[in-house]
Amino acid sequence: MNPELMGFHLSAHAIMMVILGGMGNFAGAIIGAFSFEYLLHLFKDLPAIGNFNTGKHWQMWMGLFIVALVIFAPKGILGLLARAFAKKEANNE
Amino acid sequence: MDFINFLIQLLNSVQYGLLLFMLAAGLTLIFGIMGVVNLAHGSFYMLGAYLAWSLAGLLGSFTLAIVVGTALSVAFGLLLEKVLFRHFYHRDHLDQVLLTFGLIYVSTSTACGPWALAPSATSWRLSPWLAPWLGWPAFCGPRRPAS
Repeated sequence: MNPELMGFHLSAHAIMMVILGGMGNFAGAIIGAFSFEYLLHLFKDLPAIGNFNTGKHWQMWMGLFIVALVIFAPKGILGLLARAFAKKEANNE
Repeated sequence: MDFINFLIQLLNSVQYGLLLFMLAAGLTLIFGIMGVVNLAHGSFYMLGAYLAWSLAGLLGSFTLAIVVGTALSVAFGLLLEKVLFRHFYHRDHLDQVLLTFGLIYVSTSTACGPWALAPSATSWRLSPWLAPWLGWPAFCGPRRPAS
């Protein structure tokens, strides 16, 4: 237990969760929190390839993921879902 | 505290103040004129410093290292502008903040990872008396012994 627990990274992670889920939406925050924590564990548990431990460098993958997210899905997971459903409905009609 | 210590502290604070001013001036110029919030500004600064540092050992000339390091940093900045920042000019400031925040993660991980430029005292030819103070970056923690 130390002050670091409430440091800059926690605020940054909280913002990341909301962005990942979808901004301006209560459900987006919940979905974002779950998926963000899952992703974090996924990145931290990556296997070591030879001498290079990929799990130890989770910040690298998280950084690249954030960049990709902002470029390809600026409205988050809910935005992606909404777009997918809109396309499906357009196809049905 | 004696006078010598006071002078050393004074010089330290002046150089740190100058460093912070340079960073802040760059950040606010880019934000004010270009309208881009670049949280990863410090990462570019770090890249330039690292490049100049390793080039000083490689080329054996401090002046040449500064010139070449600056050129390489500018080239990297232009590349990132072409690949990433160009598509964010018309977007919200928050999107730009997020993008550069991701870049911070990448650059931090790169600086502390296996690609880190390990300093070696022998590579610093300009001033060997400076070498003991140019240790491993403190924020990376103690270096793991090579296994």
